[in-house]
This record gives sequence, C-alpha cells and structure tokens, in this order.
Amino acid sequence: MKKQGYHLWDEYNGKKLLLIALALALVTHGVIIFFTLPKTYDAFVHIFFADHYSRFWFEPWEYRWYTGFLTTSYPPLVHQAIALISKVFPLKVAFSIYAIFILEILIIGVYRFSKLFFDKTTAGVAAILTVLLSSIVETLHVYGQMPTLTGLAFLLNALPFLYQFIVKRKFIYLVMALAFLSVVISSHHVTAIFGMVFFIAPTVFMALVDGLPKESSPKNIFRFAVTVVKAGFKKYKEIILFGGLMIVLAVGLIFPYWYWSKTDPITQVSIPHGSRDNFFEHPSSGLIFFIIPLTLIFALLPAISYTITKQRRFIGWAVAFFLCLLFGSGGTTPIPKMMLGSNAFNILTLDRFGFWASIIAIPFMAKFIYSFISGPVKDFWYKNFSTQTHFILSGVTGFSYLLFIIFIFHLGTFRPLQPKEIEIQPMLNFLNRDDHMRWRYLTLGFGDQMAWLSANSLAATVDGNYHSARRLPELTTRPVERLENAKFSGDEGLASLNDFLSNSEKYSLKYVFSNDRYYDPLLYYNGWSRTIRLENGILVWEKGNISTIKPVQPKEVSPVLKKAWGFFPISSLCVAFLLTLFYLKRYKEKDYFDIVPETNHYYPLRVIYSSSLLPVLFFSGFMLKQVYELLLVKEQKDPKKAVLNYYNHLDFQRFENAFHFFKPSPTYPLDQYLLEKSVNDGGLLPSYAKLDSIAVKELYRKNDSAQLSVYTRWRTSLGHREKTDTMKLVKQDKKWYILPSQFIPEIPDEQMRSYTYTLFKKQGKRLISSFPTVKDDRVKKPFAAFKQVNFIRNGEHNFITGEILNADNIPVNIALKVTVRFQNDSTKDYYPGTAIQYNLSPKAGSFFQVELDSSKILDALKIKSIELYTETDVSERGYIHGGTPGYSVNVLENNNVLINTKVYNELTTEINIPGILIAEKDSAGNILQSQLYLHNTAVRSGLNINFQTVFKKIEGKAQLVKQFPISLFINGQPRNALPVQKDEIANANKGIVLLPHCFMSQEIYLQ
Amino acid sequence: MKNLFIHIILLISISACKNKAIEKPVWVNKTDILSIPIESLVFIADEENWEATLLSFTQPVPLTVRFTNDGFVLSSQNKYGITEGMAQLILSNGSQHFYYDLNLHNKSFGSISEKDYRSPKTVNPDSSLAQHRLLHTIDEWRNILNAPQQLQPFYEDIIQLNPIAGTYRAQKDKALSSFYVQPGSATSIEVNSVYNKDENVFVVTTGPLKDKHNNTVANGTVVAFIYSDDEQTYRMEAALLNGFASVKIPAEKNRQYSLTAKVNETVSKQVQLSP
Repeated sequence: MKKQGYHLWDEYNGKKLLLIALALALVTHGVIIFFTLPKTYDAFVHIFFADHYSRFWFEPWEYRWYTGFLTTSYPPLVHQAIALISKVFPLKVAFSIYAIFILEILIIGVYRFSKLFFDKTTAGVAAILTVLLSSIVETLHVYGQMPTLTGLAFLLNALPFLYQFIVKRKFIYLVMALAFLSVVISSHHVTAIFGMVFFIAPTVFMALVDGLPKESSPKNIFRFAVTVVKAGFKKYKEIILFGGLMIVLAVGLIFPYWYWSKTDPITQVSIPHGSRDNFFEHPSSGLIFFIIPLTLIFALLPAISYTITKQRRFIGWAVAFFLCLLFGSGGTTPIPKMMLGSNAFNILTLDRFGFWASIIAIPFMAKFIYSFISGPVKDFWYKNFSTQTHFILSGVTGFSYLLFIIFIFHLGTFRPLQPKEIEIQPMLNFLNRDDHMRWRYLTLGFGDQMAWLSANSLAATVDGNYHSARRLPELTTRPVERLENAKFSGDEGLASLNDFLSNSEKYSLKYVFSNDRYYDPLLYYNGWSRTIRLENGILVWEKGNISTIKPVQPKEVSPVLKKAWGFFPISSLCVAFLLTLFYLKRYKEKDYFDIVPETNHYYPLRVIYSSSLLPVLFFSGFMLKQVYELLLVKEQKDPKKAVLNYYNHLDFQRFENAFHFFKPSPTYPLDQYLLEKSVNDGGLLPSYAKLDSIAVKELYRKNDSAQLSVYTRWRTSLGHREKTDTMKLVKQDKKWYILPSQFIPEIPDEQMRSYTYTLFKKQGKRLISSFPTVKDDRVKKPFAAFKQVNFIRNGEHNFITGEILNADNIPVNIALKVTVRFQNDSTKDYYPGTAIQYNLSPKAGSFFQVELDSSKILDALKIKSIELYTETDVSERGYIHGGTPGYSVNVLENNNVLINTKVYNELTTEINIPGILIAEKDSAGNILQSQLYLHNTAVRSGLNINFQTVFKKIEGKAQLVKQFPISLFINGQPRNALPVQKDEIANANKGIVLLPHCFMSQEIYLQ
Repeated sequence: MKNLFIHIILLISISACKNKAIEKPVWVNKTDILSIPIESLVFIADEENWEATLLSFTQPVPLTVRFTNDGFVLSSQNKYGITEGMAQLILSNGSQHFYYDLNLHNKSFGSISEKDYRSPKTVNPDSSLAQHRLLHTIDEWRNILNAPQQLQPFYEDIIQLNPIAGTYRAQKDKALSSFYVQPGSATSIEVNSVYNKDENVFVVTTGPLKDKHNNTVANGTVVAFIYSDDEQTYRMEAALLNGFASVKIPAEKNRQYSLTAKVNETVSKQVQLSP
C-alpha cells in the first residue's frame, strides 16, 4: 500500500479542517456547556475559587470553608481568569466563556501537536476528533475540570516550540515554549509535573531522534539508544537551559503553593476514588473512568499500537501512552500501585492518566481515521468489498459514535451524579437576614452545588469541596469526601457528620440546609430543631445555644507572597498572549515543520480489519446495551431476580415500577397498593434508610410457585438495621410475580381524633431594627437544674450520666458539655450524642449520657477534675416527644433484660420513629447508663405498636466513680445537683425506667 | 514595533494622570470643644464644592455649607443637642476627605428624664422575688447627668416584688421599669378520673395546679400520668392549660390501673382506674 499522490501536504487542508473543528466546538460545546455545568463534579469548586479572587484578589485566606484555608493550595490562574471575566458577566456565564476559550485553544494545541507527528491534513482531522473525543467531552461536561484542560491546552501548544528549539536551537522557540509552559504551571501543577514525564520527555526524545543525520541512525536498538544519548549530550546546553529555566518558572510562578505544601503538609487520609477501583469488581467505576473516556482508543488500539511502535522517533510516545493507559486502569491490576507507590496511588485520581493516554493517541487515531475516510484504508475496502460496504461501515460507526457522544453529554441525566438543581436564592435570603451569617451553616444532600451556594454568599460553612486544603481533624482523619454527602461515605462518613452535628458549638455550626430527609433522624436526635421550609423545599434545621463565630487567626502569608500570587500567574497568561502576537508577526515560518519526517500510510491487513470493525462493534454494542437495559431486560426472569429488582425499585422509591412486580389482579390495583403502603408503611426503614445489601434465599420452589426469605441490611443515618422477610411468588406468562401479603387493616375506633397541644411562640426582638440582636431580648436565659450527675466506669468505657430538669415555665433547649481537666492542666471537651432529650417542656426532665475516652487514655492522662457546663436557650419547638410508652422488663441471661414496650400514639399525627430513652438506675436511684432505642416502623394516630429490646445492664459491673470532683455550671453560674432520690418505678422494673423520645416528620411546628 | 511602543507610552501616560491635590482647608475659628447648636465654623479654602459632615460616635450630622469669597462657613440647622463625646468633622471635596478631631458639648440639657433599669426582668417565686434597680438621669439627647439628689450619675437599690404572677407594665415615663413575675412550681396535684363508656376511655384530669402564692402553674408545664397494671408501667404526658391537664387513657376489659400524676418531684395521691 504505497502513497499514491494524495495531497497530504496541501497547504490549506489542515487549516480548513482546523477552522471546521473550532466552529464545530462552538456550536456543540459552546451551546451546551452552560446547561451541563451544574451537573459536573468540579465546575462549582472552580467557580467558588474564582469568586474568592473576584472578591479578594490579593488575600489568599478564604474563611468560608473548613473554618478557613489558604487558596495558595491550588494554582490560581484559571480561577483568576474566570474572576476577571466575572467582573463583566455572571459567574456561571464567565465560567462557560472561559471553558469555550480553553476548548478552542486546546483544539489549536492538538492541531499543532499532531503536526509534530504527521501531515497538516491529519492534524486537521485530529482537531475535529478533539471536538468529539469522549474523554474531552467527559472531562468538560461531566467533570468540569477546567484547570486540567487549561494545563493540557497550553502544554500541547508549548510542545512544538520546544521541539523546534531542540532541533533548530533558535532562542525564540525557547521563549515561546517557556511562555506557554508558564501558563501550564500557573493553572495546573499536576499537569506540569506529569507533563514533564509524559509529554515533554517524549518530545525532547523525538526532537533528538529527528535531529540525527539519516545515515547515523543504526538499526540495532542499543546502538540507536547510544546514538540518541550522544545526541542529547551534544545538545546538553539546550536541554540544561530549558530544564533550568523550567525549574525556575515552576518554583517561582507558584512559589506560595510550594511554600504552603511544605509548611502545611496535607494530613488527609486517603479518600476512596472510583478511578482506583478494580474495574472488574466495580464495573460502574470502570464505565465512568475507563470505558467511556477510552472506548475509541480501545477500538482503534490496533492502529494506534501499530503506528506508535512503527517508528523509532515515537518510542517515547509509545512508552508514555502505554504507561498512561496502564495507570488509568486503576486498581484493576496491582502494577500501577507498585509503580507509583502506595502513597501516590492513594492520593492521585488515576483517571487523568487515561485522559492523557487519549490525548497522546489523538494523532495516531486521526491518521487511521483519515486513511479510513479518504486514504489507503478506504481504497482497501473499495477494492476488496464495495463502496457500499465502506459507506455502511462508515455510516454505522459514525452514527453510533455520535449517539455515544450524545449519551456522554447527558450522562448526568441518565446516571444522575448530582442532586437536581437547587434554587439558592431562598437560602441566600435566609443567610442575609437576622444576622444568620454570624454562625456557620452546613448543607446536606446538595452535591457539588454546595460550592455554588458558597460562591454566592459570604456566610461560612464547616464543610467544603477541596479536601487537600482542609485541616479539621474530624475531616482529615476520615476518608470522607464531603459532609454534605456523608451517606455515600458509609460508616466513616456518618461518624464524621455525627461529630460535627453533636460538637456543633466547637465550630459555631447553627444552621443546616437539608435537601435529603435521610439525615432527619440524625439531626433530630442530636438536638437539632426544624425551623422553616424554604420556598425551594429546603428544610432549615437550627441548634440552640450556639455561640457566634469566633475570630480565626488567618495563617500568616508574607505580603510579598500575596502580591506574587496575585501578579505572577495571571501575568504568565498575558505574557504568553503578547508573545504569541509578537511571534506570529515576526517569527512565524511558513513550513516550520519541514523537518518532521514523512510517514507512509501502510497498515497491515489485521490492523485494517480490526481497527475498521472494532469501532462499529464497540459503539453499536454499547448503545444496544443501553437500549437493552432500558427496555428489554427481563426483571422477572426468575424468583430471585424478581425480588432483587422489586427491592431495587423500592429503594429508589419508584413505587409504580415496584407495583408491577405484584401479581396482576383486578382486586389489587395500583391505588390499593399505594393505599396499603401509606397505611402500613412509614418509619425509620421505609422512609429514612438506604438499602445496603440484600440476600435472597429460596425456601421452596415447585412448578410455578416459590417462597423466598429476603434478608436486607439498611443503612440509616443512625446506624445499620437488619430485617428478614418472607415472600411468596407465582409464575405467570413466563414472569415471576410477588403475591401481596395479607393486609390486616388496623383502624382506630374514632372517626375523628382530637388532641390539645400547647404551643409556644417567641416574640423575638423588642424593636424592629437592623441592629444585631444576638440573643432574644424579651425572654431571659431559662432556668435549669441537675437532678443528678455521675461519673460511671464500666471496664474500658467511661461516661457521665445524669438527669437534667427544665426548671422554667417555658420550653428550653439544652446544650451540655463535659470538660475533663487532666493533671498536666490540659483539657478535653465531650458532648452528648443521642442519649438525651435536648428540648424540654416546662418542668420536664431528661436522662443523659456523655461518652468519654477509654479508661486506658483517661488513666494515662490522669483526671484532675470534671466540669459539666449547661447552656439553656428558649425553644419554640422540639419539646413534644410524643407517644405513651408502656413497658415491662423480663430478666434474661448474662445481665441482659428484655424490655417489652408498647407505644400508644395519642397524638393527631403519625409518629414516624417511635423511640424510647432508657435509663438504668441502681436501687438508690443513681443513673448508671442511658441509651436511645428506636423502632423501625411508624405508628399511626390512635394505634399501638409493640416491640422488644434486649438491654445489657451494667449494675454490679459498673463503678460509680466519686474520686474526681464534678463541678456543675448552668449558664455560666456554678450550681449543685439536687439530692438523688429513690425511683420506685425503676425499682419495680428491674432498675429500668424510660421516657418517650419519638420523631414526627409531618407537623414541624411540633418538633 | 514602533506603533506598539507608542501605544504603550500612551497607556502609561493615561494611567499616570491624577487629580490635582487639594489643600486642606484652614479652620479659622478652630476649637477643640464644639458647642451645639453650631453657630458658624469658618474655613479658608481655594476650592469650592465642599461637603461637611459632623460624625459623632453615634450618628452622622450633615452640616450646611455656605460659600464665601475666600472659603466657606459651616452651620447646623435645627440641631439643638447631641450625644456628647468625641467626634470628627469631615470635609469632603470629590474623593478627598479631611478630618478634624474635636469634642461635642451641648449648650443646654433640654428636657431631663429619669431612667429606671430593673434586673432580672423576670422573677420566679421558686427562686427569688428580689429585683435589683438601677436609676439614673439623662438629658434630652441621652447624655447621663448627675441625679438631682445624690450628686452622682447612678443610684441602685433592691426591691421586693409582688408574688402575684403577671406582666407588670412600665410606670409612666419609666419605660424600662416593666417586669414579669412567673408562677412557681405546683405544690400539690389533685387528680380526678372518670370512665367514659361511650369512648371506652378513662378521662383523667388534674387541676387546678397552684404554686405556693396561689398562682396558676404556667401553661405548657408537663404533667406525667404514670399508671400501671399487673404487667406494664405506662407514662402518658400532657401539658397544662390554665392550670388543668387532661388525658384519655384507653380502657380494656378486666384491666385496672393505679395512677399517679407527677410534675417534676411533686406527686399526686394514687388513684385507681377501673371501668
């Protein structure tokens, strides 16, 4: 297959194609970027940083996240550039404009980069391919990784200059290469660092090879290597000059970043990332991080491999390409971890390597595609088959690839990665009024939109979306991406969130904007009260007794460094722009790539076949699979599958889909199912849990009927719950259907229930004024009293238990804090968790338990004294704990007792989570321990629910420690505990006494 | 290149343009203590278009500017008094501002009034009915004066309040003398029960609950009705309204309960509930 006079070096074909690519990018990406932006992972983070520079250009201290962090922790150029555009346009539009510009520069970069390898027309094809390359589409529209794209765009533009500097030794090329690389350094340090290995080193190698005289290129590979090394030594001045200046720029331009990373090293434990998964074990991660960005690369891998290994000048690129591809495979094989080391492996997100592999592959893919469309490969198909065959093959491949690209554009819709778009104006109004900004807030269930809220407000949150910068131990010690999506980080995530919700005083955290009711039980049982539902449906939770934000001393940064951070990076962009104009006017040569050797167009048959057919197989196969999953999957093929799919629909609350798994019957329509569900269902598991795992066991199967046992494990915000159900199924029309369980209606006798509530309303400020009233001025700090306080040691467990009373005539919310003072004069604070009623009616009391450290730690530090601080605040809500619990206690083995509880709901609202606060008392009335127990299902108004709880008693084992003095303070005043009295009810019930502690979701004015 | 350099020089020249510096006006009749109302403050200045503001530590007071041949004169209209203390006179001309430190003093007191602060505002007979009172006198513009009798700015004493619960409104001209007396805790609890056959419930009522001064116990006070049979112990809670709390306990055939009502540590006598 010889070159047959194709006009490969036609002057303007390349440029025409480049212009088409640029225009195509504008009409596709340019139009859609504004709409895909809110669904991306990172766009809002970069917008938040841009907002920072827009407000405080020369001040790197950003107080709005994590109680403060330095923005010198991320190269600033991209953010500063968006900040500048945002002076004219709104932030989202500014980001979109910037993204479009960068995409255009990237396309030009790919065009220029490809000319290092092949002719201009192939480079033009490469430019068009860039517009439609899945990895680029994904990086832009799914990830929103603007710094990565900026770094890459300028890196690719720098490489031809570097190449020419090595070959031609002209100073202007060095200047131009360094100008562009300066922009890379200033926008994305990771691209700069790894770009040196995967892009710059192969370019230098290729330049050295191309600089060799043709006759001095030995065939023996070792001799060839020696020759190249010798050539390198001959050009040592150029290489050292470039390397030296590159290091100076890398250090100098973003010196504050290096200074930060040295003086304040990252302590964050590794956060799991899908790109590090074994893609066979986690196919969904493989799909997102490997398959979608690299499908075209795999489809054309035979052609890429053939071309990239065919010429010795490509050796560096071949190594870089296969290495990137290998690293991009994440934890599928142990090799990337071995090569990178476990530290780097656990910090880096490995999908970027796959992305770089796809970029290196662009010229090689373009070459084959060009050949397939109008070159020797096309001729081969024409000659050996027919023009129609080639046309159909091209058409089907192209059409299925375009469908594939459209699928990626809308990936956020098909596979929602983010919650639906949230209107932030109501939250901004809330933060702006009544000085709410004087406290911190937290968002729950916002996804990356939490950064968008932050960007539009000056209020501070304890959370954030840039984990390298955070230093709060509650966050750095746990592998949690963000608090707002804690439920996706498993037990560690919820433990971290729990720390913040219970120790909220430490961080002046007073408000929670919740977009996910999953967290409601955790918030409620940690003492948070619902305040208002905003116009956008977001529920605002509030905690009483929280101090306003204390001033945080910003980390010291020298004024010189602040100025350098504000000037140098953005200057690099300006300089690169001006130098480019200067270069185009004075130095641009017409055929400045004439040193690039010509490549022939030969492909072996196996490559032609495989690379022509694999794309059509891959893309049409992928799209057919999507259609199959959408329309044709047999969800009721066998009993197990039917049950699994039924639970899947139930978990995602697709009740209509779930209903179709029941045997069709005129007596059991959808209405009946939903009605029975609304009557029977509700509670912690049905409403506030996520299915964690499911196991189905076939108990019985005969002909067309089966019985299955279904074990489900649910993850709630208050821990795991387990449940086992039995289901009967029948087969009908080749499908297995579930038989609805017999419905026994339980209806209270009365037609209408009534109940008298006493509700309270705080009158608020005395005067209408904008002057801040931090504390309400009409009502004093309410009275409270300790009925008893005990220090209990039970083996390794230590806790403070007691009972607190609202001694006032108004409802209060209570904040407890235990401060343990040690012999070395250090102190440590502890807060109660869920074992307390935080809100109390007038004259109501609550047991409490505050967990301390283990005996080992406390004994090592030696306790000196203990202080128990209580703050009280007027409460309007939360003091109705609902239900009438009745109980009896049976003694079991091993100091266990069985508490038989019957909760009667005398209220007019459903009790969604029936709960009891259990206290164990000794015969003298001292509280030994207190625990919260919650039942899984709801109890409707006027009905009863029975449940049993196994409770481990500690009397006889636990010790009432009296050797350390416990000082009590209420609203800052020293107080004494009241004398402990015998509790006859507890003594009659084996030392057990309980209080109702239920959660009601509907009438938020009650709780 | 030549054009480029010309453009750069032009840009530098434009950015170098600055407004002409304005000299600070000379205050002819300068004084450290400025008496209110202001008669006239005379300044010599070259420029016109001056604006003047007197910035006391509580409020800005715009001054009237009258221009003369060699400067301007400031005066205040209808400002007969002010909260005395440190202040600044600010003269502004475009974006330039000049500051003059001074002290403000009123020429007359205007009308004099007495202030009566009470603490705590809310008392509860369970703890104490004593109220700490702080008296002082202010002039029309909220400047503290020596009390007429004591020759000192403040006077304090302790007063015992009436134990009758209620909202005590302020005395005339003493807006801050209002206070609240809350009811105390219940001293005893009366319980009555009736079996309602129609609804098959026991209607149990407590009340009226009174404190030791015969005040009706506060609304919302939680009353725990604790009742038990041979098997289980139940706890039903209700909130007081006007001294009464009532619950409906479902009755069951052949089941009897013994019940006590409890408010904090005050417990009623035991009553038997049987249909």
